[in-house]
Amino acid sequence: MDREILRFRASCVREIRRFFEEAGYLEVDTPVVSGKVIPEPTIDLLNTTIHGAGDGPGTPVFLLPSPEFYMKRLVAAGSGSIFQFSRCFRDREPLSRLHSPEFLMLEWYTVNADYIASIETTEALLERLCTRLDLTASAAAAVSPPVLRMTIEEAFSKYAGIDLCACGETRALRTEAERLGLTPALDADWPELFHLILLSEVEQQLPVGRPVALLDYPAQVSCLAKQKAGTPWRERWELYLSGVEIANCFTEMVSPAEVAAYFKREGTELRKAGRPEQTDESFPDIYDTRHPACSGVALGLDRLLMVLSGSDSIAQVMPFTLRYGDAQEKTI
Amino acid sequence: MVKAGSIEKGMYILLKDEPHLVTEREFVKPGKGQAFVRVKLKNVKTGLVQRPVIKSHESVEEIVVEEHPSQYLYADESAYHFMDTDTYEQFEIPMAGFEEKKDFMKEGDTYDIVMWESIPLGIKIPLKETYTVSAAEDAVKGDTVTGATKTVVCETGLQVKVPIFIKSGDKILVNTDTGEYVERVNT
Repeated sequence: MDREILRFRASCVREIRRFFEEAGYLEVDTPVVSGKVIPEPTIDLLNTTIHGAGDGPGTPVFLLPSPEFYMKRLVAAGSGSIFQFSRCFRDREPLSRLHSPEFLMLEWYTVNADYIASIETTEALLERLCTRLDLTASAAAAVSPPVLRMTIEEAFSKYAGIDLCACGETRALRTEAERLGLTPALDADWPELFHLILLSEVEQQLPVGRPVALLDYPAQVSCLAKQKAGTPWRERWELYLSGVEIANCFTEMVSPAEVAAYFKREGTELRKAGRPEQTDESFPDIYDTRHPACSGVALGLDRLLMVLSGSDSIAQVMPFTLRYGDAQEKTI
Repeated sequence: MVKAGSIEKGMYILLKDEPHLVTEREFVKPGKGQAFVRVKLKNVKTGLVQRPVIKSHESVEEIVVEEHPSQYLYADESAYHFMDTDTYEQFEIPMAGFEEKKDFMKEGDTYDIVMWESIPLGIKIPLKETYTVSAAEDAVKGDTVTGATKTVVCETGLQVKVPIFIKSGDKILVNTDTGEYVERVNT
């Protein structure tokens, strides 16, 4: 780790903090440990045990994969708009060019805002980083606003020749995947086919010389983003810089009934997968009908620093890369 | 069988019944989806390259390969001729898919041949190898620009960009993966 990178990292964090403070957001600082979580079957949690003062077997707890579990409680309790730099933990995401089991997330929630307003906030943030940090010309071009907005529907049509609206059935999407020469698993469900095509055909062809946001994800991909009224899409976008997925944004689902339905559905998936202990059944109770409209963005700070500094991997911008087993030698 | 998530660069796997060498692999995980690996595979029979995306949990068939130390005898127009140094049996490896190895192999030297069910999958050449410069132009007088290079030809026919002080007869160390000059070897 050279001092230049340490300084670059610090100045980037400082500019982001100033940006949000000036925009009226409150910085918060929430725990990374919890006994229960929001159910997300595609995420593997790191766990540990708290023994307290006793001699017993202790209580299993999880290291959170994102700060949303606590930040959403703060918003529901009336915190107003908030932001946080948070250490996050995810198992089975091996140390590699874009992944580390421990990483730094910038997450912010804006009340009385939707996902489109959050793109504008993100553009203002990127603009500030371009102005205040000493970037190379190519790095500046890769992050300089405006962000090119492209719906998932447009991107699938343009890069994969697929009309997603005509492929609502798993069989129809499978036929398209096979037409493209892909070989999906025999039991692949709709979201898996969608992601296979996204990764194989779409992501690889996105423009790299400027920021791109893919908007309006299919409702079949389950998450806590609000459904766009009268459409098969969710109010969600993902930001790509230099072809790398950097941030994810929702217009947050705040209807108590819809959040409860999500917990029921995903909790069932986790039970089927033998991981029933994770789900915080009481979480949907934080929502009531007076909850303000809200948009949340989660941004991988190590990846952003990688792009800003023109590095090839997140390891080059982290003060330390995790050392465990022989993973480091094998994958970096 | 191995899980796709455990695929590593340099591994050989069977895809649609054809043996492939993994030349790149990257772990990818969509924001709200399952984990995949994006791999670059080279069909070792045809040289064709594919870039499939495979679900991490999916099983792929890893090929159990053997390495046979073999002496490189010579190349003809379409094949390399080797002799197994254990059995003294001579065999040939079709050049298709291994064309880029030609200029890196020295006649008479021994290399490990990666075999699977008596099909040669690869020829292992040390990452850094010494070659003798057989032809080099003299440096142009007065050309003292730092970092100036010229191209020389080695005994195997390999062409390498080198600093201008390298002369015919010099021994040089070359990275066999990139074909780049590393340093002059003092003898």
